[in-house]
Amino acid sequence: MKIILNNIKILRKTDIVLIAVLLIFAVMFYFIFDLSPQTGNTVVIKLNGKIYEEISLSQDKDVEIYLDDGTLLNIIQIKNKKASVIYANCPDKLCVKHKPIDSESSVNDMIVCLPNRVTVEIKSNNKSKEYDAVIRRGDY
Amino acid sequence: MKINTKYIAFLGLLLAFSVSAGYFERFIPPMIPAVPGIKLGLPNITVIILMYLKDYKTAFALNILRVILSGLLFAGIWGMVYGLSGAILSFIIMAVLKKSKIFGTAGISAAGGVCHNLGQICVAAILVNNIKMFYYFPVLIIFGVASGIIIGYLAGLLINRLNKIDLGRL
Repeated sequence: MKIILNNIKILRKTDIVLIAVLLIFAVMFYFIFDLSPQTGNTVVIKLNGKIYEEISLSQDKDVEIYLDDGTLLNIIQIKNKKASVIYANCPDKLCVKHKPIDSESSVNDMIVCLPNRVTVEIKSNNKSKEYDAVIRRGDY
Repeated sequence: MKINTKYIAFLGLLLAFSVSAGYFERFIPPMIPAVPGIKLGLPNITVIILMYLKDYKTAFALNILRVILSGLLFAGIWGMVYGLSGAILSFIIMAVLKKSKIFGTAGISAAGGVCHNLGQICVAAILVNNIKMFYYFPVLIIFGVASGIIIGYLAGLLINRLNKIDLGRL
């Protein structure tokens, strides 16, 4: 082990600059990926980035997601116009703990099951804007 | 380098602490329901301590061992993949910042926290095949900075305390 003669510094002026830069970066990112709500009524379930199923929020339905070999990955429940993940075969179950998404959710809000590569998102009513990455604030 | 039992025990203690701290963190309820899985990063304390009191090699080895161990014990194989991506990227950034000698532990750890999230989000975006994962990034930067400052502060305090004990003979 090394012996350090003087105490090390915990917070220096440069740290405050660094932290400020990081926070400014966060704000910039926020505006680039406009997080303001953009609503929709269709739920898109994707597996591996490909669309698995598209369903309307207004019908109550449980969607079971299977791999090609028949393994049950997740069950997505659509009830009372809200979509949530009610089953996951992965250990952490973060997607099950995620709050349900509904038509009031932003299109950018989605439920992700990382181990199974499953995403549940709300599709925008306005098709042309669906995949825009850069939208100015107050565009709509 | 002479390795003695005291040194091995000390490293074992740090590794045990980081694995159990990582496990403990999983029980802290998510602060914002929309983004579950935000963690404090307590295990990072040991990485910073070793970076200062020992060398980069040991700190890196402990970091990787911690992720592998917690992956085998509770996080699962995918937890391990995400953990490794975050751990490696944040380690590189922290090592570079520490080498520059102009930052304190709080700044180093804050940048490390942000990069941990960045590494994980990159792997997640590739695996889920969905660029939308980056919409979480602004929130994750803010939480990474906040938890990083806390962790860096704690690590700095601990380094200064441990320094008073004669670890030189370890």
